[in-house]
Amino acid sequence: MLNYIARRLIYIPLSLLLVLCAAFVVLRATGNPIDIFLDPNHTPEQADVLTARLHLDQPILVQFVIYLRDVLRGDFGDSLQFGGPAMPAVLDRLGATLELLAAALGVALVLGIFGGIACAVWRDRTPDFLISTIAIAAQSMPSFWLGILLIQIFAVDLRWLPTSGRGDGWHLILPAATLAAFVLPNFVLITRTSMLEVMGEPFVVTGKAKGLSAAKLLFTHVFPNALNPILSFLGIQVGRLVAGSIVTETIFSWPGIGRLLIGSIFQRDVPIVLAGVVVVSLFIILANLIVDLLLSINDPRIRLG
Amino acid sequence: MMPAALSEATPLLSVRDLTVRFRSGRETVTAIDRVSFDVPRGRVLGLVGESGSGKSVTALALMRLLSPDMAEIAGEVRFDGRDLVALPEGEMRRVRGRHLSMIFQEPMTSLNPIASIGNQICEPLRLHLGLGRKAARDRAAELLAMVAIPEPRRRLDQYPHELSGGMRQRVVIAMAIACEPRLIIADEPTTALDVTTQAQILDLLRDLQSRLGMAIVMITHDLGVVAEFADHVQVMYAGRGVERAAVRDVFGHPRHPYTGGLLRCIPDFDGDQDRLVGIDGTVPSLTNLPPGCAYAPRCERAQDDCRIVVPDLEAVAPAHRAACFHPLEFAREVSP
Repeated sequence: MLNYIARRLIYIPLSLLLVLCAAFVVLRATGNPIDIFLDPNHTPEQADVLTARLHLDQPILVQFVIYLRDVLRGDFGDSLQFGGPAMPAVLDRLGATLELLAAALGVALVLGIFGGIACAVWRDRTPDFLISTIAIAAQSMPSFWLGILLIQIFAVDLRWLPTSGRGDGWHLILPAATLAAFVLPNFVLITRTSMLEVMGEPFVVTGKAKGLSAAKLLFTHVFPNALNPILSFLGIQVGRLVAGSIVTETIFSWPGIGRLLIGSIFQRDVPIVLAGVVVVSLFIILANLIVDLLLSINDPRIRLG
Repeated sequence: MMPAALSEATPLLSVRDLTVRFRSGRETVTAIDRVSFDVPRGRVLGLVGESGSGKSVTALALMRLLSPDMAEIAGEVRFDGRDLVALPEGEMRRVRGRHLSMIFQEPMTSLNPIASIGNQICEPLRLHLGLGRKAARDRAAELLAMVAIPEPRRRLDQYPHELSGGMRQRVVIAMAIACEPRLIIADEPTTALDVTTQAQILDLLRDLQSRLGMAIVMITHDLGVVAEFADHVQVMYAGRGVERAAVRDVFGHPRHPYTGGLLRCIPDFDGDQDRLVGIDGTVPSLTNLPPGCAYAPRCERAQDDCRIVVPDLEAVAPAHRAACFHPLEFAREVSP
């Protein structure tokens, strides 16, 4: 088990290195940093000083090594909007994003899994039909539209919930619901498919032949076996969820990393964008590591492989 | 449960006119048609037939493991005095795995791949006998030792993928005998195993059967297994019982032409036979059975009456029944 974790940990720096390479290429491709950092009326002397400070006179490979060194030290440069170092500004917003992601993912997982189980148990009957239809309808609904619709209904018309911003728990409901709706239908459908597949396995008949009740069979034999595809899917969905959070945070003015990133891209605040990309990547990598660990705990066959 | 005096006289399992119909859309298919047989206490009944003859459906129907949405069961399955067909599901659950258990054909897939061997064996012990965690584990280790698995303690924490096919089938057997049931239904328990393992598993089953005094319904297409193992035989063809008698009678004097044909198919390695004998034709589809005897189209003795009326399973000799209007003569010997 420890061996397995160690092997998985080796991949983290590798994945991160790839992200940093991609970020470096994109940064250099978006234009000369001098034009970004200095105002249009800068003097040639100012440009020379900055060129030297940013090591832009060095060969590109040397620049890359210097960039890696700075990043490893946690030095992403100073934000153009806030003046201070970029990383702390990003980490400041991390709490808000994690809160939103956790709430959305929790709702999507719990409702998705129970919905999917209900569909599988009452296959081709009313509950299955209802839940599957709602899931497919929700899946085809763009989240920016759903978000605006929810604001219109619950915040503007009914005045039950705040329209935007972060504050008490009430503020969390609409953005979390919007973001959850973005991934929930997928969880319903994959749980349903996976449960149905396992229900047809011979060992389920064995369990029934032992005298187990339908409910016990469902939760001790069928569900644990159906969990693997759901967990693997969760790993993939974390990336989608983070992407979805950018839209959701923007709609609801949620002060998280997503909204910060979008704003920084418009402001061409390169250090913030870079720091944000690294934080988000690390989050996705760690989430996938956790998923892999959960998979290996659930399924003993994975520990060997 | 029944009073002891009565239970001595009556068979442990008495199946009468068991019929299973599968609904698929508007059509219904009769998978087994009025099958009857008895299994006395501590005895072995061999249920023989080709694929599609209804052997496995019979097994699943006895255990009531067929989904009521799809299968309709009629007839009577009297087990220890109670009719299992009419038993409410809650009570049936207390019979399954406790008094009546099942060994499946495919040891590769009949165990839960992500549950430990120990937990899977402990399940019926805890459920039916109310054993605690520790007691169940001890008993599970004993059971593994009984089915001749080396290092039983260590095996408890292993998973199915860590065991060979033969070992897994031993685990399945250990699970089936966990609560010392009165009857075990073994559905082709050796078909998926290689020949040497088959012999070991059969030896093990016979040994357990005599030690625990269980009755067994042994479902197989292998006449050799029946000859070695069973006390009585029921031959099935296209969902119907065609011959029923003690093993020596069926093998010594088969009366139904189908049984005779099956016995002739056994290759004789000592004689000068140079061609394998088969039965011409194929088993008819259950959705399209001929009007009379299902075997008539393949039968060399078939006459006009066979093609019109379905023959009942009737006595052709004391304790020997065959469903045939023109049975083979008694004197005829077919050497297996």
